[in-house]
Amino acid sequence: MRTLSIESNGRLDKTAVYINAEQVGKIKELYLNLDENGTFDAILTYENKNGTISTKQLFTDYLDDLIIVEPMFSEEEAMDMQLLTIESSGDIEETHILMNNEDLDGIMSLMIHLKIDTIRNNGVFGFFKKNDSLGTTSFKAEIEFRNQDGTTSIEGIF
Amino acid sequence: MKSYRVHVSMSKYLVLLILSIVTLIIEPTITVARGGFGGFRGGGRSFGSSRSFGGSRNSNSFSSRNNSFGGSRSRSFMSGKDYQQRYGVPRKSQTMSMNNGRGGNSNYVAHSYGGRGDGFMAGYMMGMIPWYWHTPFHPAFYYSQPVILNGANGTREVYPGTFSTGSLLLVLLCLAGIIFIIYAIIRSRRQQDFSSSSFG
Repeated sequence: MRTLSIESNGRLDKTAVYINAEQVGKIKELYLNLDENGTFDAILTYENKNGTISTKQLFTDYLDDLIIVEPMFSEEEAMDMQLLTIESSGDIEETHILMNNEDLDGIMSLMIHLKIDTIRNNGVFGFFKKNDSLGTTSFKAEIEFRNQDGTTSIEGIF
Repeated sequence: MKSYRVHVSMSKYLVLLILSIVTLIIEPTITVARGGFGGFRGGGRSFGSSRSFGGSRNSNSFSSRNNSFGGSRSRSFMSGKDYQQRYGVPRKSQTMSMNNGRGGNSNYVAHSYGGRGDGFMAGYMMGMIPWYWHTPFHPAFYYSQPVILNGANGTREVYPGTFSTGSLLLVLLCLAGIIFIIYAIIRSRRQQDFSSSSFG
């Protein structure tokens, strides 16, 4: 079982990803697509200590040379954040999801897509420099619940 | 560490902003020194300064002037005819007597062309002009100072100043610089800082 925690306020620059309680740095993309029918896509793209970019199955692959960083948030800052925790072995049947340390149930699907593109800060003269790495930064995090009356609802996580 | 970096970055922009504002403030001085027509005789003001009207006469004023001989001729008007050849016949000429600051009166022939420079000419002839005429916020800033020429019979002819495109361009450049710096500051503030995020 591996534990993935995402602590955020809905902004990518204020997002910390923990794997087994250690904050990971230099993540390029995190993609989670889980649903009750057995879909289990959990992909992590990150830069390792050698500077190379690796793409791995988050809960099943061996994550070599992860860059571990100091915790981003203090306890006070963490009070304003939402903390999503996923404990899983890579199988939907053995997946446990917590929100702010409280169990979530009735989940139909979970979709998280966090992605960053290289951002260059060229200061004032950035206007005159060509940015060759334009792309899209993505922050999508939703859970679809089945309500007790049989209806479904989609809620943002952070 | 992060706040220190942000502070340094903001300081950089603030220095640029202050430099632009200082440029905007000292720019009138540069313009006044140049004169609208490429400089007046003697290189100084004819009206509104202590050199010609009011105050005490400076006996060393001639020694500080540039030598008249040598070099190339500046684009100053030697006579009223020069001015009229360039700008045409004045619509109206009015003789007026003004206090010369030395207990006497000087006679002036003020030539009007019907433009905005006429209004400013009267202001200059009063001897003192408001300080804000030297700022880019007043239209007089964009007009050169009146041209004073020695006419016949000891009278002095006064021709209105003309619109100074150079001043306008300089002000526009300064304004553009200030707007650019403000925009850059706002843009950099909006830029997200990923230094401590898991993503980066």
